[in-house]
Amino acid sequence: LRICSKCTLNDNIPSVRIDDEGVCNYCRQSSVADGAGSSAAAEAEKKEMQFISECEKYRDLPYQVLLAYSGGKDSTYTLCLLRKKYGLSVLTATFDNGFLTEQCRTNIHNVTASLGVDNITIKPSFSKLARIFCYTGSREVFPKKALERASSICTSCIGMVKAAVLKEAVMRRIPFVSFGWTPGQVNLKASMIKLDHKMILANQKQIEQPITDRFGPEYANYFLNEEWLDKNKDYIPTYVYPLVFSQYNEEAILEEIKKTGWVRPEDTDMNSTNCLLNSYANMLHDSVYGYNPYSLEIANLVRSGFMSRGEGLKKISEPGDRSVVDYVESVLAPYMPAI
Amino acid sequence: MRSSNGYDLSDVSRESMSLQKINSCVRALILENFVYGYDESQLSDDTSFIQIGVLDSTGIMEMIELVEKNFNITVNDSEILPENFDSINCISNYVYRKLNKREAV
Repeated sequence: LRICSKCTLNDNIPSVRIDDEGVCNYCRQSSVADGAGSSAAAEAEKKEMQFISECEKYRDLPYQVLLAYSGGKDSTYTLCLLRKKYGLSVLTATFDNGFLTEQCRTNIHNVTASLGVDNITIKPSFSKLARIFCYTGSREVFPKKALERASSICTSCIGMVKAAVLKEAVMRRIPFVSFGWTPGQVNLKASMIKLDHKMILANQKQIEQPITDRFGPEYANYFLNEEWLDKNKDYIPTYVYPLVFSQYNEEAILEEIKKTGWVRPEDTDMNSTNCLLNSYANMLHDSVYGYNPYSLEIANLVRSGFMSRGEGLKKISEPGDRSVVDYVESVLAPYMPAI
Repeated sequence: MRSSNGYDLSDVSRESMSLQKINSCVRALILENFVYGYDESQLSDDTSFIQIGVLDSTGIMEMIELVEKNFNITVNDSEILPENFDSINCISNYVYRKLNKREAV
């Protein structure tokens, strides 16, 4: 195993190549891009101004933004930005996958109360979710390239989250949908974007099809219906990710969200502040593919100067709590024979 | 500038490029910067990036950034469609139309 001397990527990741000088192709490409135009800050400011200007058009709506609110630190900070910095009316939507920690539930309650925002919880049948997680966690159902960005279980979960919040936003005619994606997950150009329904459906198909092929059309309820979205395409919201055009600093984020009553859960792993399933999903991914599924995100943060290399290496190398992994395994065990 | 695949990338933004030349440049860019895990022989001009998991909601934006920077064009939100970005051929045809401004894309 070779690790890039500049970031945190290792060559177990299929797309990573480390050269004779010990530097990965992502870092090489990044330095070329930096040389081509070091105007990231100006571009970030432009995106932010564009967002503020667009929001002004919707001041009279009951909700200007629908935020996918996991209760974790990044989506909590995103909510703080939307409310405190931009003064927007926000509806938060939480997708309850059955593995949110008790502290996470308390955090959602406290933060939404503190910031004066409404919350809806979307809670699919746990037995169906558990079957999906067992299936996607134990079989190679998604393309390898997609798995470089997230574990198989997280890919299926996030796919359903995206569909659920988009459906809510379209039904409620909310013009913006927001997620707490970090600058490590999304590039600046994508920090505010309106996607055509055909692109949304094409992306969704990669997640939906293996699941409905295995479990039947009943599971299509957790995804966007093609005909319905086509009929409502004029109401597809703009995606906006304020963390991407903000300065990402984990310490400052934790400090800010504490003011809203948010408390870090003690039973999640290094890369999650809301979900117990994450430890199990990461463990499975690491054991099959030999790398942490957060590797690309963390390396991007390190490369962009938002995180130190040492901190990044710690985040991707520290194993999840074995007792949490055992707990998740025991909860999912009854659903394993069904697949 | 010559890529490690042997393609000349020095004139990628020139409007006079033929479709064939654009196709070669797109192939080189994609192989070098995007689908690293693939051999050239595994990637046909019609291989669907969506099918191989490259063009998910994050990947599409990385792809667009790559195309914008290297061909000196601006991709509008309304042009972010599978038919414009789902394969080497899709991208080549899209870039060709943008560079030559022959028709609305």
